[in-house]
Amino acid sequence: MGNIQKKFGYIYDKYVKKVYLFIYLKVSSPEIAEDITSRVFTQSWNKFKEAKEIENPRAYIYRVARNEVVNYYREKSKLKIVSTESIEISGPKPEIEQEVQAKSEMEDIKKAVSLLKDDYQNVVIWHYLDDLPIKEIAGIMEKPEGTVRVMLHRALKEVRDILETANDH
Amino acid sequence: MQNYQVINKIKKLESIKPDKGWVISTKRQILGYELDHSKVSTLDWFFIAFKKPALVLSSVLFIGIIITGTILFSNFQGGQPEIAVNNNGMLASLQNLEAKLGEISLSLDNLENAQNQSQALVIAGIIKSTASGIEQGVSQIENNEYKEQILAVKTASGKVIEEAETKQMQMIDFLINDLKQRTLSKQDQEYLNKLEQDYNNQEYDQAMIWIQMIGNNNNNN
Repeated sequence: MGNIQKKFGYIYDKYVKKVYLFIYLKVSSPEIAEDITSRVFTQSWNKFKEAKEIENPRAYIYRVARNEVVNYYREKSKLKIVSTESIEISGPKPEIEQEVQAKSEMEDIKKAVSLLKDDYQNVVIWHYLDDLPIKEIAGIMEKPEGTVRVMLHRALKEVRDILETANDH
Repeated sequence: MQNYQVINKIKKLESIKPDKGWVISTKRQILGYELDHSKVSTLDWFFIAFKKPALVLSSVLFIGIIITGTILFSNFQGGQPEIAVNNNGMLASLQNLEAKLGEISLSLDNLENAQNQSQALVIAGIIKSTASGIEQGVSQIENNEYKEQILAVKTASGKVIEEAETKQMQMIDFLINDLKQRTLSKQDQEYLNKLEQDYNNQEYDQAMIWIQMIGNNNNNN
């Protein structure tokens, strides 16, 4: 048991901050992000104890994290996946506009990422914040590499459009 | 706006980090064991530190703090009349100690950006050991008049210890990953294995010794 603990301790140290950031950007609350991150690692630890080894711990942990975020929204009946079609690029609502103007650049970008649809958020966070190569992201998402590249390209364009729209108002 | 500008903006989100205390306590909670604190004495740290001249200046600051704390402690014990300080002096010293610990806490944030990570690690180790010493020393002072100020120093010490340990953890993790990418001599590879083992055991102070040995071995080659 001791050796497994040590191995998992290493995995925890390595990924906890990235997983927290991944979750935080989806739930926008430090307390909820802490709670979900804690559940993700508890669940991963249970799996790790049972299986003795996980082939790709990062991919596994991110899969658990995605599921936990979905469960969170489901439980709260707030599951709201924003599709690319539904984003109002042409002009945010007045109250949103005010909010965006009042907040810092950091808040703007956080908001822009949070407006992306779920899959786009994932590729942006994993590739640009977690430095995951396209191949690994494709593995986690179980999609072809080409699809991930296209998603990343579109996601980046959307973030730029949202930021530019916010700056114009 | 160009793509690289958008990416740079996205990269700024990397600064969002969980609370350090939460990271450590959650790990304890999940894995169900206590962190094992310093198996290496404060004195050991100073010996390692002074092998590296660049560390001397940083270390002097901490020695200064220790001396301040020692004088303070001696006066409360009433054993050294020749360095007696009046009550106002005691209060000022405690306040100064708390302020210095606050400065150290702030400067710890920049430690992981230091060019020489190995030296930065040693500094983090010294900071942790020194803060532990201050915490222990101040805990022995029994004086109701300065109860609040003593508590403030203890709190500040505790914060520094926790932050220094988190920095150690982050930097050791970075160094292990970096060393794994390099071609190492057989001896260094053995040290790296021991380093990783100690890191996994959360024996960060002990892990530091292996990092220093890998460095020294490379210098000798």
